[in-house]
Amino acid sequence: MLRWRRLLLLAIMLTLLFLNRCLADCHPTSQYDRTTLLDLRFNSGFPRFHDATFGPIFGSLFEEVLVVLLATPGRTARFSRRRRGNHAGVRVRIRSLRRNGNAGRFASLDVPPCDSPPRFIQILLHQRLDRTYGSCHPTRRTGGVCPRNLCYPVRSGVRRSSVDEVSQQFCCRRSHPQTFRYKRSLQIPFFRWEGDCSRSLHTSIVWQGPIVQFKLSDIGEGIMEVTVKEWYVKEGDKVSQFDSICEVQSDKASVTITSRYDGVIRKLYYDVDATALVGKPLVDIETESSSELIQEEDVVETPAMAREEHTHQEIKGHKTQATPAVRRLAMENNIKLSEVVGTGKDGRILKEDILNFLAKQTGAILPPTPPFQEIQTPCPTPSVLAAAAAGLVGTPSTTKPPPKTIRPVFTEKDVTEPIKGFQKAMVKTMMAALKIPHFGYCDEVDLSRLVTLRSELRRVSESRGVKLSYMPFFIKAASLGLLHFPILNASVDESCQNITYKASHNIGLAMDTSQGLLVPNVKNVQLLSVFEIAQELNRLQALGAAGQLGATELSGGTFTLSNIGSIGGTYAKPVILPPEVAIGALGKIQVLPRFDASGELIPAHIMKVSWSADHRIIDGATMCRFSNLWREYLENPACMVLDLK
Amino acid sequence: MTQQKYGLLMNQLRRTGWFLRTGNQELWTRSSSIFLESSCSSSAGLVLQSQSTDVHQNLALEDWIDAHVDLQQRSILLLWRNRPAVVIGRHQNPWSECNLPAMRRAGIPLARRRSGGGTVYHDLGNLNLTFFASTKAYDRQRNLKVVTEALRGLRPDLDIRATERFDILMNGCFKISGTASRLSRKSSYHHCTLLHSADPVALSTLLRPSSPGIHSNATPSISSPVANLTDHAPSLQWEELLEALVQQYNKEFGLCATSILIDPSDESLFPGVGRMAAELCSWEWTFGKTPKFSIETQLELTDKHLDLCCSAHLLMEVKNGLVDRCQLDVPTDWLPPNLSVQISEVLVGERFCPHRAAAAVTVLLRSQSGQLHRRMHLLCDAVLSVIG
Repeated sequence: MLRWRRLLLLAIMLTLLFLNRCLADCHPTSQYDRTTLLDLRFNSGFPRFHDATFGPIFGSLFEEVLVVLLATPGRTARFSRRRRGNHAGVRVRIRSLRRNGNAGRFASLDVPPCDSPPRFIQILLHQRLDRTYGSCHPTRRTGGVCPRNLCYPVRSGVRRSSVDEVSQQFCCRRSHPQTFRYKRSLQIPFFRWEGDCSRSLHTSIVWQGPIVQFKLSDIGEGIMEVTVKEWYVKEGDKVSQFDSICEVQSDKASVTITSRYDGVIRKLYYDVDATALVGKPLVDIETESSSELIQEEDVVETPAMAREEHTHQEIKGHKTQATPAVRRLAMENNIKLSEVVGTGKDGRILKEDILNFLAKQTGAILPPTPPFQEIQTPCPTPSVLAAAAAGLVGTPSTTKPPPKTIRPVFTEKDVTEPIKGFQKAMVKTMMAALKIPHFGYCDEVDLSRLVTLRSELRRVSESRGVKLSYMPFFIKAASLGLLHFPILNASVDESCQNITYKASHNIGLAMDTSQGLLVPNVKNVQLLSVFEIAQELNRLQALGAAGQLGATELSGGTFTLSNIGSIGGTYAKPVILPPEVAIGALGKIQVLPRFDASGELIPAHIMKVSWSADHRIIDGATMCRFSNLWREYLENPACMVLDLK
Repeated sequence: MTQQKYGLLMNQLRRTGWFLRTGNQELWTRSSSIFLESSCSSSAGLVLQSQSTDVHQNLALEDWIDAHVDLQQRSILLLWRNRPAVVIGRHQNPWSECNLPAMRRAGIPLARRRSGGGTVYHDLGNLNLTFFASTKAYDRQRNLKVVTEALRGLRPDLDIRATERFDILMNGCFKISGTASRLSRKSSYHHCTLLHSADPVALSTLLRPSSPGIHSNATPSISSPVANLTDHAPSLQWEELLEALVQQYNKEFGLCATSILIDPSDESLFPGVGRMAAELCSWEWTFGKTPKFSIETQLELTDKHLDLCCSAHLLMEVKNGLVDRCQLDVPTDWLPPNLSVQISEVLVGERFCPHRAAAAVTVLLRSQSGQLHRRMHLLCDAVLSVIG
């Protein structure tokens, strides 16, 4: 009984809490109460904004609703409050919102045909919008110059963010954590909404810019037609001004066509190898901005907003080159382009230059941001960090708090790609190798004498134009060993019915080539001298470096030595390459302390060797004896002379 | 003496090198003004002569100048020559333009330039001229006029004429120069070859297709009978030719530039040029930029042990230099179909390059033995020979 009462009490409390929370959340301190529906009405095909448009729902009862107030110039904009539910919802999504100098903001939006309005509508938002939302310039914000401060309550997790960010958020449908692009433009308030979503909230705003036909301009010499040779973009790609769009060719001239606009490619007019005509459209670009913002060529910079604290001399009429997007970024941050050193082509100012400039001014790569701002993995340049570390922050920095520690958001994604070509072949071979019962055997070899011998022979060899490494000795010693243990130079058929003893000692060696790790082999080592092996190795290495190893060099191996030690390591566990039956891996040569015959401690050149053999036909003793013989030849190179033919 | 002068100019050029760190355009403004102040002060022009004979370095230098130098008020003539090399146009197919196996054997590099046009053979007997100008001032006939006028001045008896296709013909039928050009938004360059004393045998043997049966929309080269200048003017000296060209260039464009020796591998003068050269050297650029093509051919197979002959059909589609599709039809009595499919499978996704394909198929061959191995080996060899 007591339990039930407790539960009931709890339920009541929770409900109260819940309601309270909702009311608090969704009640903005602005002129709008929570039941106000800001709707969009259409009048004879052209939109008349009565109040505003709003965003989509995200599933549950309490939804985040973006409300953006759009005000058209005085004559078309009228504000009227409507109770929610009076109008059918329209799904619209905000695409972009941008400034047109100091005059106002441009907005473009797309409305689906539910109320049959025109598809693309451009609305000029005059200063009204500025007045409504204030500005986000740091000076203004901190100084509180904002004409009408709309401080909507923001619940944790819901951020104030720019319109672009919101649109991005909408695109992503909040299916995963957001990474916000750094962009400071307009701040928009968030509402918490309580109400009947089914009727009123199926709305979002789609902003779409005007579509511009980008025409193939005259390329001189009276050329009227060209062949499209390569597209650098495809439909749906975002391009910036001066980005390469395609490569065309005419009369031995290769011409790169660059975009004159910022925007999204909506249509390609030609396929590759088609003939394009000068003066005819090449692509359709949905521009981000109105045509007034599009500058065809470099322009003489008009000074950005005046800032009293600037004492730098202004270079009047100084030519700066930057894309409209960069200009806007500069303008929004009160940066004069003439003060920024451009690092782009022809001294063009890039977005990074503005960010770096800003970083130098504020001492951090990012401007002061709202507390909930997330940042895409920033890569501050060392100079910026150094400057910040040395306290070389901008002049007003003394009054600013130290830069916050930026916790980067990891945005990299896993990449999956199909296994193809060589790798695919390797998969097959290694699966076959896995069926072989391997056994391993390791030992160490004292190469001290060989080191001395080789240093003597190297000069002779080099005088004959051949580089002499240790490898020819290892290969020759292996071949001499194989003469005594032919079972190691053999192959077994798939059903393990027959052993084929190979007449030739074609000893493969793993080689790091320009095209990856390959295993060419030296043919008929049993017939070659150490010098001839060195010669052949030199040839294979040259071919490998030039990427010219052919099937002849790569196939027909009967035994393999892998010189893995040249990269590093001591012991290994080599995998037999079918149809061979044994393989050796050589570790690096190290100078290590060892006892000599008289018990004296001496420095010795020690190399470790690891063998693997097919246990179906080779027993451990055979492998061990072979290894001992091979080691003997290398530890006493003079013995080799006795057995050389 | 002239060498000293060049050295002096180079020092000046080096001293101005720090401008590069602040703005690349500055170098050329300052350095050229240094040269001009000493001689005359009319308009801005430069004649550069590359000290390098490496094709990739020289092509990278062209790109560097095109990308970094302000050509709006300035024109530049670059003179360069290369050790033996084959240079293909931007949109060409190397497998159908040149004999790659022969080039590999002779150690002759292949380069893909950024300009259009057809395939040319370079060696030290061939002079390359690059005319840099703004896109507005781009005029190939005017550039070619510099060459033809210079040659006419040197040897009035030679009949030298530029054609509508921007070739230069000697005595009406022998081509001595081919042209290609590249236009960007603001800058342009036009380069042409000039055969002075190039190796005609190498030229004709190397400019042959390596693979049969290629179907492609890549720009084909138009082969023409060629001749060296020295064939008809044996006394024409290299220095004499260079001097005449520089003089004529100055005359045509109203300049008074002297030729300056430069080293295109000098990163302090041309920051980033090494990276550009490396990019031009890469397989991804040289072969990977080939317009997509297909290759269709019959493979003749002979098993000597059984004295059995047959023919297989191969169809490969290559995109970005990578095998996109491979279809190998082999008579089933010769090889079980699953094995020929396996060969096709390992080739797909691999570079259309005999080395990589060989590496892939030899790994595959390891899993077979006996007669099947022998036949598969023969088939693989036949396929690899097509890859060229």
